[in-house]
Amino acid sequence: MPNTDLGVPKPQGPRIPTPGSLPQDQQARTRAQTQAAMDEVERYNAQQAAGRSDHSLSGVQADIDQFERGRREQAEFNTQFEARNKPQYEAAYRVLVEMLDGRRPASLPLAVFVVENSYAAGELSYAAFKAELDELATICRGLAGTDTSPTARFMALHRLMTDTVQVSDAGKVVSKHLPYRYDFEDFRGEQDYHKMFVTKLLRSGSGQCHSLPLLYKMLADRLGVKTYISMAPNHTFISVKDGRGALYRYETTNGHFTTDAFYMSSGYIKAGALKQRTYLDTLTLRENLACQLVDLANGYEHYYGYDEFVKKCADLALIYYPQGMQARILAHNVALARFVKPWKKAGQPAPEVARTLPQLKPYMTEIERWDRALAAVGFEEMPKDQYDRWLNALEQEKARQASQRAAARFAPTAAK
Amino acid sequence: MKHHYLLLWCLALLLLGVGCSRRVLVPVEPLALRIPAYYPSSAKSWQAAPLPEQLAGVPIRVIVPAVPALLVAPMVANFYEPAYQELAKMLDGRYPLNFKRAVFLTENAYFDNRLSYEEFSQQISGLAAVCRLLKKTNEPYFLYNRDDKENVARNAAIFLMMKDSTRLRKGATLPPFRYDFEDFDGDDDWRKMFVSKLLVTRKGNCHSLPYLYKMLADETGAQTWLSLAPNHIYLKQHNRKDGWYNTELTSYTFPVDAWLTASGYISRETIISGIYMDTLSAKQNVVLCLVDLAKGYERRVGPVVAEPFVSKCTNLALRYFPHYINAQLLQAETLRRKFERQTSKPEAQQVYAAMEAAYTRIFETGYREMPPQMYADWLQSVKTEKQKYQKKP
Repeated sequence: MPNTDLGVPKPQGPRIPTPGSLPQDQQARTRAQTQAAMDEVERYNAQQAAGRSDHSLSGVQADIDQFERGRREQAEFNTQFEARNKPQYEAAYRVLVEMLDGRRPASLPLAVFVVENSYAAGELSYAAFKAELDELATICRGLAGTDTSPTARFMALHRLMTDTVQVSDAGKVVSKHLPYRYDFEDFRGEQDYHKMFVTKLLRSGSGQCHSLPLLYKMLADRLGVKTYISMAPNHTFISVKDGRGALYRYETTNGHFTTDAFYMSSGYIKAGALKQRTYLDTLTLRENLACQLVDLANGYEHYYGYDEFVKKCADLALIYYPQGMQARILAHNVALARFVKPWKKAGQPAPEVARTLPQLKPYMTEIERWDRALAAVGFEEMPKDQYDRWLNALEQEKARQASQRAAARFAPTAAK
Repeated sequence: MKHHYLLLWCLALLLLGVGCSRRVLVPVEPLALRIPAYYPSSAKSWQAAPLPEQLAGVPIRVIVPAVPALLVAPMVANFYEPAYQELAKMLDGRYPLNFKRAVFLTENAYFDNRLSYEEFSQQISGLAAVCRLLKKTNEPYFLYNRDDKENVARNAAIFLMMKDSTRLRKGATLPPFRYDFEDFDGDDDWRKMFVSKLLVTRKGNCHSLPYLYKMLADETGAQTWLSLAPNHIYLKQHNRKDGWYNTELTSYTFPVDAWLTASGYISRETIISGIYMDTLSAKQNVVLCLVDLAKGYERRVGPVVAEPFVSKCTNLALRYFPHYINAQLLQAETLRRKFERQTSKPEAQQVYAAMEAAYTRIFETGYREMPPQMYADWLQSVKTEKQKYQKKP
């Protein structure tokens, strides 16, 4: 018997054809759909009661089993990796501490290498890294030729990084070195953290605003040119002194000399931050090592989240580079991460309520302390539209470079 | 008996009278006119303050150097010295810091004490009352909604009052305060720098406009700071949404720090040494007025005669605001003129050493004089901007 709740259908005789949008037609269609669904449910229940399994379901079951197995294996791999990797991070931390204390001769290439090798779980080779840097420095010296002034050597470095260099031996071209480009894909390293690394830059020939200045700095140190790494919001670049001691700003991502005004207008820097020497300052070797500590902590956080090791790195970095924005951001994030669990346990109250609860008050105080510390050095949350505008400028640059490459490919064929 | 210790009180007064051996009576701001900075306790309705018809007198320029010191002394003793003393007491902490009073003292000394503080104060209070009224009237339309809304609204009311005409009632409109392109640096007429001139003519320059804003902010309780740039003063404020931002009253815009450094010839060294783009405290504001006093005096009597008084002012100024670049420049220039006038060798050497030290200090702050071509270009741009603002017939 059809379900009388849905309404008993009226006896139907010959009817004038209707467009189907009338309410009676819609109701009839709904009734039919509901009936079909209920019939299927009854059939499925009858099948389950009878114990017969559907063939389509067994395929799903196999998939489920495979997925579970994959998860278990991943978890096992994770624990093994963690057991192998965490001591490597501790070892890297000790190396950086010794460099900062003075117990070990401070060397930026070694610092960069231990940071990147920790993330790579010991797969990289320091000898190869050093050899590559030496090779590049030799090419630069060759480019500079007989002129040994720092300016000539920096311009040789600039040429190496921005122009194709052909190394010739006894008149024959032995090797060609292509310029290093800016990698627009995932330049913040959010999907693939390797994008931040100098080893990735050397391997693939493209880097971003973290790896390119580091490479410049390491090569310039080898060549004896006085350069400094300088900070801007979400950005790093190089400052170079000429023979007379005047300071020039050099943007490594496009090989141009720029000015303070360029970073201030696009980088969201205010006078307070400049006065505190947070931005556009020339970093000393100790401050560079403190930044490497922060990089170490960032890589660790990518794998294992915010925990004691990250806090340890942030605290030490703040001792040697107190006005550094990165370390303060790290410390602030650690405080936030510690706050999340008790906050969820307390039922996720609003900030005004959370400040009064005794179990949450110390965490809130710590977060507010770091908020004040960030404001003190002139941290300004880059507004989304500003960042998008800067990103847009990047997109334009990307399109321009792509068009240049296309033109380069097109030109030889067009000439024929 | 009202006074239990009447005898003791009389004795104290006598001792006080004996103790004050100075010939000049140091004025103090009348208590009745010390209007509180926030909402006044008695609801006073705003009345149209009588504006003076014209500026008080034309100052007489004393010709240098044939004038004997006796003729000049009256001017210093009667007008400028008391002003200096009161500003010194403010800086010492013996008198409360009051920017409005400091500005008035500076201008009044130039006008031979012919201005009235009561009138000046009334005008400022009147404008402050208009600002409060503007804030209250526009509250439902105010878009900013964070927890520092009150302070931002107060600042916005002052800005609005100064920028646009305010319609009070039918037929009564307060005109806005605009930038005076004629003689904007007060080279020909030092009175162009004054707030009293601004209040009368409704036109001022980058010196008087921020001073007026700051006085109104003190009256209405809005938080704002004066800030320095080469040959320029502007305002700095803070809110939760934009952080620190700048207000430029000459063009009624909010330029970013990048624009100020790029167009204002400010380098990173000057920002780090703190001579430019830093917020000034209340004491430092009073030091600004002190240096204005010295400059006004120099204008009236000429640099040679003014030299002792100017040195006194700059020494005091640099004690309370050591890196104030205008005070340092004034001191260095004064020492240079003094050196050029020296005739005997040992004194000349002393003065030369002092002058060199002053110029070295200035150099180390990172201050560099704007190149003449750059200054000429900037002047030209000011003139072309004047074309933009002039009404077309």
